[in-house]
Amino acid sequence: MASAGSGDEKAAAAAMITLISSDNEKFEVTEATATLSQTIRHMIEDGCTDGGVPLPNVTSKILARVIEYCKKHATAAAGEEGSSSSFSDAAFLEVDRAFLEELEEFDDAFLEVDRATLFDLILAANYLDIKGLLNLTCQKVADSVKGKTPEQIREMYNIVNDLTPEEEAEIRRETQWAFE
Amino acid sequence: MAKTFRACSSPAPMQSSRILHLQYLSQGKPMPSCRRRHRPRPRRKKPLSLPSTPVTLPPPPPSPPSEQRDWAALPQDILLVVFLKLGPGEIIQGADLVCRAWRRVAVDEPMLWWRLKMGTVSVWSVGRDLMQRAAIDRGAGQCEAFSGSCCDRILLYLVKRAPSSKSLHLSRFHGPNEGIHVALKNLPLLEDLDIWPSYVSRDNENLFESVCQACPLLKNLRFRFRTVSVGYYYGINTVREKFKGLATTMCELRSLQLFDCDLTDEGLTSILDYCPVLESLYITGCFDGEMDRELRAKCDRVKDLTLPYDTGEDSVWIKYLSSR
Repeated sequence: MASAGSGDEKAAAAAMITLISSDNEKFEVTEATATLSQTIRHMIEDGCTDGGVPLPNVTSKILARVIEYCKKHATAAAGEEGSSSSFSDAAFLEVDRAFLEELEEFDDAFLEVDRATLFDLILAANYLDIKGLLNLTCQKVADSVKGKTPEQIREMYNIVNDLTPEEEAEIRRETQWAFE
Repeated sequence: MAKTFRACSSPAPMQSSRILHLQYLSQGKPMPSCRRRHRPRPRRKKPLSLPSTPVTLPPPPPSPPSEQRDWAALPQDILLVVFLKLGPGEIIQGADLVCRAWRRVAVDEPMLWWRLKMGTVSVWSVGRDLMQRAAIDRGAGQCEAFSGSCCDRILLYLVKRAPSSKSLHLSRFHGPNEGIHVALKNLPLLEDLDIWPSYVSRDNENLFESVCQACPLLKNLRFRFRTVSVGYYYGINTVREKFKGLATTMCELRSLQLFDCDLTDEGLTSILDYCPVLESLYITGCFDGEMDRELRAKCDRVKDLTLPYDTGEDSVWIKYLSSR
């Protein structure tokens, strides 16, 4: 890379994508990072990324977090690819395991957010079609409701119960056995 | 998750790409394309805020007050992803009753109920039967895998509602041979079966052979011979059904696992003779018999073989592979 000519530099420059948040903040990311999003990958394939990619539904705060996630996971993926050619099988497995552990730690730390941020991350992951991030954030929600009663879930997520008392009574009658 | 909207240079409001797509369809217009610049149009009733350049970006949507979000308004696609990570009991006892939007997904998305992992609910619980029936019903006939402790009544119910099931893992199963036989015979696509009978009675004699007769096209079979017999006064005893060998040709069986099996050389010979494409055989328990040259030659045809070691003790067995 150190001896890269001007042609390579141009290629590297061309591989940068500008993402623009709803509050008009610009983020320069590599194509490898950006294409973790299927939505952006399709736009790149269609040649629609000149002048930046406006993301009117993602605030700069959330976009920064999403990019942080994509950078880490894109780097890990690239590292795995690179290592496969230069290591023996055993060494490769070792490196592979280390990568996975590091990623897991990163993911755990990444999920240490308040519920509002989690909600925004889920919507952004869905909109940008980043499968890994959507799975990760939805798993966090699923884990948090496991073993909880409907009342506890409502309280945790500030959900208003819009079932009428009659409807609720009817459902409970139908599934009374489940609560015994 | 089906994506109906392939975004271009002007990503649309996020709340639901599906809704947006429908909006375009209902207006008889194609989705915006990067090759056609969006120009301001004459006023229309409901302008779509689709900026084509950063300059024309609309102001950000106002954040809900005090950092609260409306979790009831999560798009159904996303709620489905969340619910797919929960077990049937967790949905029926929790998410189901939270609000109308959550209930809609819990009840109306059959996909949630295609692979049922019922867990181990107490064997005699009436609630368990009803919950299993409700879960099978919600799968709308598409349930393809079921695992959990259950009785022959539930098995027959599953057969009636979801005859295309491919995989059954029945732990602590109880019911007479006849019921099991009838049920299994009516699951023509069944490939993978794991049965752990909860107790043995006179009704369950030859259960293993009965299972094999009912589904000769299985690809994987796991069977436990040690069962739990609940004594009326004296608590729990373990009982072991005798393995009497195999008398049905299992022409598709690739993997057979038998636990706590009293194996004899005749029994082993019958397995090897009646399972022509067996790749993996794993048996624990004890072995009583002679390993003559002919039997060894038959064993050599199986790629992955583990047999019990003949010590008379249940727990001790070694990989026969080492002697090959």
